[in-house]
Amino acid sequence: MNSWIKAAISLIAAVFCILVAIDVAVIVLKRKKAMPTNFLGRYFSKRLVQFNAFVILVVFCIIWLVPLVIGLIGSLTSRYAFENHPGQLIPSDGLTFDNFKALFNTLDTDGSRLPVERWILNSFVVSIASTLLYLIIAGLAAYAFVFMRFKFRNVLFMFLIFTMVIPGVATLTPQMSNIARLGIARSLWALILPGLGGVGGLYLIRQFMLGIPKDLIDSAKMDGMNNFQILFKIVLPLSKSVFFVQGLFCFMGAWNDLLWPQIILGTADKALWTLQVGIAYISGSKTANTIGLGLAGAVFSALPIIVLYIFTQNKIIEGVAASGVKG
Amino acid sequence: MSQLTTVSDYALKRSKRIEFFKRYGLVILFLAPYLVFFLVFCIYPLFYGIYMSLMKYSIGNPSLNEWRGFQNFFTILFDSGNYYHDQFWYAMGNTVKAALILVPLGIIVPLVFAILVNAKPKGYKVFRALIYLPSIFPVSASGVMFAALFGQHFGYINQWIGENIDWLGGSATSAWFVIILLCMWGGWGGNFMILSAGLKNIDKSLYEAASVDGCTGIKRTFAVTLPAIRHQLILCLFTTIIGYFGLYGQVYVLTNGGPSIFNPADEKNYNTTMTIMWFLQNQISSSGRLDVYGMVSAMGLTLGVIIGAIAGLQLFITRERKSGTKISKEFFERKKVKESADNKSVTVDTETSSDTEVQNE
Repeated sequence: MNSWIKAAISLIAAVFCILVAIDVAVIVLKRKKAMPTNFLGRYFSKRLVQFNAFVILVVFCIIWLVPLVIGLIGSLTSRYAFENHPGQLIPSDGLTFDNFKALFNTLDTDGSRLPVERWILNSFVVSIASTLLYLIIAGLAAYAFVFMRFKFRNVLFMFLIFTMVIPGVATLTPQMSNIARLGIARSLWALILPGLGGVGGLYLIRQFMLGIPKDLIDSAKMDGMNNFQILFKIVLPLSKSVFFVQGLFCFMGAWNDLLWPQIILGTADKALWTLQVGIAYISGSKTANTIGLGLAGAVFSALPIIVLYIFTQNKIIEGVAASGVKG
Repeated sequence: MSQLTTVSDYALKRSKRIEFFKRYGLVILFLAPYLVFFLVFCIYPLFYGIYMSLMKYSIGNPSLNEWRGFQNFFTILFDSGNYYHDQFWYAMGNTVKAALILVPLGIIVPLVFAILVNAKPKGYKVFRALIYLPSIFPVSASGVMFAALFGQHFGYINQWIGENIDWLGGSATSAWFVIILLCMWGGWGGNFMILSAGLKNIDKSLYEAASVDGCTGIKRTFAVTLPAIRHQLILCLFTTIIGYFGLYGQVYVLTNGGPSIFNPADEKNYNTTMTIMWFLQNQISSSGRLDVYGMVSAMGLTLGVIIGAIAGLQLFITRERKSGTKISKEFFERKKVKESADNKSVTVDTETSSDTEVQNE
């Protein structure tokens, strides 16, 4: 076994032993009412639970991030280091960007070059287009469901909710033939359009709009504003946050999707693939040559998502949490 | 006389039509784009899928299509010894076994960490963000990372522990171990967030009351905390079950069906890490047959009925449970507000309509 792996395991074991020892000591001292009154004593008597949670979470998060760190370092490791000194955390010949350069010059099995930059472009086009279109379409529909009165409004919405029970797999093949007959099977529209009928986002937006006071809308109507004015001047500014969150979900969902692009475009021209399909294809053969390449591709495909997450993580976390609290 | 009635009829009809468009034109304008996509891409495929599943269907060559009645379903459900029947149920068995391991892990581990984070140690927001981070990763990216970790000759884990285990291709157990690890790593962030939000929203007075009654520590967790977040637990339980029935990406990236074993009983090969979604995808993309679509839709529908039943059960259970005092109170309050709002808007409507009538006159 590698020496510093042993060191790491024994370090973790030691940390947990010390933690248990501190816990036992504090509990015993508390029972005997002999807690020292200095800073440490006061801290542990008050915040023992927090201290435990902190230590466990630190250790856990370090282990949790191992695949990520490996992914990052591996993408910067040269092919030479992989072949001759596999398993080194810091490669002996230093970190290089060769894998990223090589990624754009990867050759296919038949010797042609893989169009990686097209995959990146495709992924961006699909994700951004489906996000924007869905927000517009679902936003309009949600407005109609909340602020307009028409017959069967609630019945229609209940029906929409009910169809959420139908899983996507039941409509997998008919969706394919549907796409083929619409004549978009060999274009990116095949990835953009099917998502636009989704109910989940509409439900989220509608739930948020229900929270907007009706009086506000009524008084706006009294003032002679028409529906478009109400939508753009009152409802949209108020529900900015839910549109933002839903937009993030849409973008991440479209960017991360593997199954549907794989099925619909997997056998098509490689210039139409999205980045996810391409990365899965490149890393399919697990030789020393492709480990670094695959990791470079993985870092590349995760990069937009990570950047998005760093800047909007509070919104994303709130959004995920809200979906559970309401459900 | 008759002429007159026709004219008045016509006027009435016309005014009704105008009225209809005045009233509903904007509604249609707002709803139509969504409903068109909904009908074309959600409802139509469902019915067309039922039609396809009753046929021998080929997407490439429609002349090969032939009506089969319920033959496809019969094959899947009862025709033991048939390739599709055996492979379908083998894949289904794999999926269910994986779900049996993954679902409890995917609820309990996030719950433990949600409780830890909810104790609000220093920097808990950082921990929360880090724990959720892998869940937003594209599965192909995280799969590649795990493949690099668990590769046989060049993988990090083998080098670290000094063994030469073929994790992904050696045996079904080790391959499933890696798949399950990946599912855990990239899969329970959502559950974690939902549960910790539920914990955050627990009424503090519940804890105070419990501590007055002398209920503390672990006992409090089971007597107060868990019942208080039962909605979130049920939601997580069902979304996790449904999610793992669709297990695909992890398998595709890591093992692509995985080590194949030869079953001497029926002299056929089985992919040991084949899940149901992988099998369907594989039939469509890699089987090289174009007339398999009817069979695949039948399988999809069979799986869809199973998942739909689970989801329906969830709807049923959550509906039953919504009878707590707090929720019923909330409901009545909302109903009151809604009723008063309805009355108000109804009066507004009549006023405006009478106004327009006056103007017309």
